[in-house]
Amino acid sequence: MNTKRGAVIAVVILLVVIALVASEAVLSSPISVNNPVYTIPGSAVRASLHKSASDGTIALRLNGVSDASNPAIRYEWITFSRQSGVYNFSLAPPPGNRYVVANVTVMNVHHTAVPFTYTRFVLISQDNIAYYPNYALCDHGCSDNILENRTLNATFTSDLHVLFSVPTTTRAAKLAYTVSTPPVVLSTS
Amino acid sequence: MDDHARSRTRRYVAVIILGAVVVALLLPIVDGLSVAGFLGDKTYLLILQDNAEIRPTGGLMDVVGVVTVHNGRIASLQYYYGSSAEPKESSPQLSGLVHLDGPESFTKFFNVNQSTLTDSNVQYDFASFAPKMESDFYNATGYRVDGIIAVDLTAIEAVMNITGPITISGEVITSRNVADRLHYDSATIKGGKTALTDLLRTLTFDIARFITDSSVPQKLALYSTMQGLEREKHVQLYPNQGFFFHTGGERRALAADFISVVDTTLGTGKADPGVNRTLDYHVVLLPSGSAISNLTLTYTNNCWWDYDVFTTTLVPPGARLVGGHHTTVFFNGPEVTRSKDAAAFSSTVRVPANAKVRVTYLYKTPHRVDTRGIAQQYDLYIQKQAGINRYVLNTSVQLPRGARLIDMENVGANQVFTGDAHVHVGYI
Repeated sequence: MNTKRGAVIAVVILLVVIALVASEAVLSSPISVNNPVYTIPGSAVRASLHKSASDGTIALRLNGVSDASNPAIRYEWITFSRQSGVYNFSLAPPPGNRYVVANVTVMNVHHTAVPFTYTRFVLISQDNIAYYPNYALCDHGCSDNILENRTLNATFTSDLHVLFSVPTTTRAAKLAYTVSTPPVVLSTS
Repeated sequence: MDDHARSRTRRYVAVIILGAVVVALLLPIVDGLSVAGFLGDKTYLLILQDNAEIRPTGGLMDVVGVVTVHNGRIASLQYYYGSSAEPKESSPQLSGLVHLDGPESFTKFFNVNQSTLTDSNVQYDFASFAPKMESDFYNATGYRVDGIIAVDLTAIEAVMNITGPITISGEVITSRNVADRLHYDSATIKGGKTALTDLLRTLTFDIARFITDSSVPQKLALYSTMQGLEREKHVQLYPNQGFFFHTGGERRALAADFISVVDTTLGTGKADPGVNRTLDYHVVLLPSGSAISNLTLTYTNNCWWDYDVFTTTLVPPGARLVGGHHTTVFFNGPEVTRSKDAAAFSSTVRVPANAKVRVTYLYKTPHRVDTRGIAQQYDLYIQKQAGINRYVLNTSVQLPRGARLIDMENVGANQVFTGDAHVHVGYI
């Protein structure tokens, strides 16, 4: 009887210890960062670096993706920020991350006003992880109203600087504009 | 007493102890059910504190909301925005003026006694501010709430790391860009645009849905994250009832040495993610138990524009400022004010773009050493300001002549903290 009782108590204690260890393991496990993946549709129109691709309403050309700590990129960013006046965006990334800026030439080829938003760009890493824009600025001669009003006028042509936050080790492979039909995918090489 | 009576007494005692244990276990559950609206609807004031613009309780109060919870689910939700680029676009409920009842370090320095509701979080901590906010919010809107929940952008990012991205009108918002989307929408509010409140509504409902619908490991991960955020004062709660929830962000009155730096940015935009803070503290312990303290606050501004900050350093009551210096030409202060639980040194500082500025206070601290038998014990508590993500702490402690070190903790250079810190030195 005593042996049986001892065995039951031992099992209960063991179960409690296992439960405690398991809950501690779950609670102290690193928190997974939820990284969305972007799958490029087969219908997408594509272009390599410095080449244009169009969905028939707008044409896009990727001129480069650069680290925001690059002095030339930083200088450009600050210049355009001062023109913009929406709000000052610090170029100091959070620890473990870096900011990259995609320079894209955007051209309205439809010759009437067309909807456009920088928020539908996606930076795609070599392992297909999608990074969505943090902020964007217009180049010389481009009003920030196009960003705010989300419309390109009939003659619009300008460079856009779209900033993304990515992990320090991430390398950009592609930039996609996802709202167009079909999507436009620009390669960084 | 015979054996039978003794046995009966033991049984009664056992039943009473068991009953007490059951009640102790059930009360928090009852409290939790009550908070979640299972025992009648509960209404909470949600405050989004933008810690990219630091304020004493955590950040600029960009947006506030009123949420009613029924049976663990959101029954209604209304957001008001308060810090539009154009004041006339702010919600009228939040643009009215409220009286400031302190702290004196702020009201005296700026010679003000009122502010807009959204700029009224000037108390040294959330625990002091929350009851006043509850009352001011009622006067402004007529809403009575059962508690206040304040979250900053760091908290939203951390929670979205668990709950995943949200999509609003096709736009994907992730933990990486949520702060910037909120900043952009806040800066471009015009003509009653609702992008900001739409984003916050979707975010709130998504998180609430996640809490109820997620798997047990996800719930545990979220719970663990929330605990960390609460500990680091990125989430702060003020329950005006209930037994088991304490008010968050409370600055403790301490008998030991302490430092609490409370900053307010002065209209220099979303700069705080680009500003690093370092505390250098050198203390000389005297045989009497009093101390001479040398505290240097270093601000490193990695932004491309100037950073202006009103900084108040709270130290033990009775501390006497004997000197100080700074490395910026744009400096005003220090002004010393006193309350029953702290002395406050306040200054305004400009940190130029891409530059570093140091502000040093030299002060004498009254007796702060604890005697334990033949040993002496010196403890220093650094109470982190809500909303600040991290800071670097460099400490050195010079013992009285002839004293011998027994043990020490967190003394040294380049220690990075994301929460409060405790420095300890034992000696004989």
